[in-house]
Amino acid sequence: MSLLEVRNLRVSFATPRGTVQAVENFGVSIDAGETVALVGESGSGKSVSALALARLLPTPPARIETGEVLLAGRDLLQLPERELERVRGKELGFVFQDPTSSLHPLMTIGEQLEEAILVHQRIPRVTARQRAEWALAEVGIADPKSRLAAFPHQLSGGMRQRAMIAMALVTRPKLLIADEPTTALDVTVQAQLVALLQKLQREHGTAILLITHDLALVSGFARRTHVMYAGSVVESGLTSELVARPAHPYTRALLRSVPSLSTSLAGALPVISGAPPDPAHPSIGCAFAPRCEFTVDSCRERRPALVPLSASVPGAAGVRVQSRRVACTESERVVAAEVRS
Amino acid sequence: MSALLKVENLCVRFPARDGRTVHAVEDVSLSIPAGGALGLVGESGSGKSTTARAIAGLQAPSAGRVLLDGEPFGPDSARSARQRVQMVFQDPQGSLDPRRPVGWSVEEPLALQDAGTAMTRRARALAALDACGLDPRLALRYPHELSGGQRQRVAIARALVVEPELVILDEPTSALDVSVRAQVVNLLCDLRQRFGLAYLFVSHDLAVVRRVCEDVAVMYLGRIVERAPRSELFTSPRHPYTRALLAAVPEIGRDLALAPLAGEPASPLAPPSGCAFHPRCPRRAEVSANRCSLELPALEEHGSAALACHLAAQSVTRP
Repeated sequence: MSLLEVRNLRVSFATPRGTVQAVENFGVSIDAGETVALVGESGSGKSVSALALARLLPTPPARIETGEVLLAGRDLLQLPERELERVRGKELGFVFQDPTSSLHPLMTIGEQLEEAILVHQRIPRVTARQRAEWALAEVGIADPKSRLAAFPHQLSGGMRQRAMIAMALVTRPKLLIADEPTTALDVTVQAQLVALLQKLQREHGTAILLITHDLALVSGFARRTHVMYAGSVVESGLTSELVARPAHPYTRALLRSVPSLSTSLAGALPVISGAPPDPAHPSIGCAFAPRCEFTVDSCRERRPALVPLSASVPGAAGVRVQSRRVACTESERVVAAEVRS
Repeated sequence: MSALLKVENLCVRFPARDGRTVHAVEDVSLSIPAGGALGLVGESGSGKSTTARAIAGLQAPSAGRVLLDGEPFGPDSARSARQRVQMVFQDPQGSLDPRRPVGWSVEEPLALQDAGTAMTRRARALAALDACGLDPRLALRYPHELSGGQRQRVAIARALVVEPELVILDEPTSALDVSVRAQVVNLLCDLRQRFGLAYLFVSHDLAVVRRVCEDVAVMYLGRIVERAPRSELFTSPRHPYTRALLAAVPEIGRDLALAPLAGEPASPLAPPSGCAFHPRCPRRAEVSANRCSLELPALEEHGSAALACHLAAQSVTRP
């Protein structure tokens, strides 16, 4: 059984312009110790999905309309608030893009770590202080004893994010939800933090749900990837296969539009024309159809379901399709185009 | 080739509250030929944006000078000289008036100059929007009605409407989504070709810089540590910092760097002695007699490239 199993999650927001569908029919499963990525551009619903599954969205304006979120078999959407809080602190850890918004500016790093420990464990304060020091040492903060007395603003951006990771992992959660954890950081610091997360994951068997817009980061980090567009998962599968042989036109176009350090500079960078749809005006058909080079008439009439690739591509010879799912009726042509180019 | 822009020994220092000095930019020299594009890359705190602002005349240099076609250039230069240099920022919101239609914002620089009649100014503004790939009908919209990509196109149109020769772009694509970023990168390449523009392109995104600029300068803690044509810099980087920086950039289909660069840049309030990179440098042991921590390496010219590293004197072996 998976550690986390999310099915059919549907989230809407009440706005002055009416109800807006933010996430539709979202599902993800994560095994213990595994890293799964949710990739998408702004407004794709990746962060909303992650916050909704932990019931961290303010309701209202948000509303979870349907869905199941099974963490080790228990449905978080059905838990009473008090029990949920215990689960959130003990079994789920969170790291967000901007650690300053999650750290209390007027409490020292040590006080905040101790509090996180003492909420979930009945141990003496001295012991908690000792554990807090270990936690900082574990995330590679030099001289942890003196850092315990530091306030968040006295640390660099990279150090603050390390402290945030220490705080998220101090209760040894089974699942870490990391929402753009390195986006605000420089690349050399990002590389350090990714290495740190991977080391801690190996040592403690923590599963990671990584939310990011950065396909290249995902490529080196996550075993499996879900690509989101306009509130839905459009493709999912093993990351290495998905980036090598995308089967959804959006995944393919997105991969091609990322500038790299090594690809040819001849010609213009392939682009996705237009802009993502306005969630206040959803279409009946595939949300990507207006920007898609593979569109056929039926794309505008029906929204394709996320189905296993083997079913939608009968002759996908040579493509390893292990657990690949795609929401596109034309995926056969997409794979063929990818093989040609 | 004579340089359109020449920057000589530029320094920008700020007083800090505790009486110390922030060394934001130290001894930066660079030049850009007419129609050329130089990328200025580095991490936060490297001084790349401050360098750009000082060149644009938005920040008074503490020392050094900026020359445009050989003439000193700054906020006191004649209007005719200042309009030859325009700037585009990361956040287009900041350069567009939220209470005015965007067409007005594009026209404004012309109105400030009293260029032509109201009619010709409008026509030039619409032509600039069109050149930036925007439907002229969008001129009547307000900034909040446009997408992030459209707003950045408007900001670029506003810079281009006065027909500059040099455009200074400070992280112009950093706030954009992946699919929109590619559109703006292509637009910047097209506009340069079409109008013979020179660019000073400041960015932390090395892959975007590689697309747009044929020359690249790498900054670390206020100084240029390496400068080279893109064909050399991305294939055979020579400075240990440039190498570490390139290795840290995630690439699709490539595993992340196994041994990331340790530590973080020092504070520009107290730059390390000698080479500012030496406390993090994986190769400082290869240089004899602690030279790296004692002596500041000069930026030495090697043909079309330049390098500030003591290893160079000991013949750097390329990987």
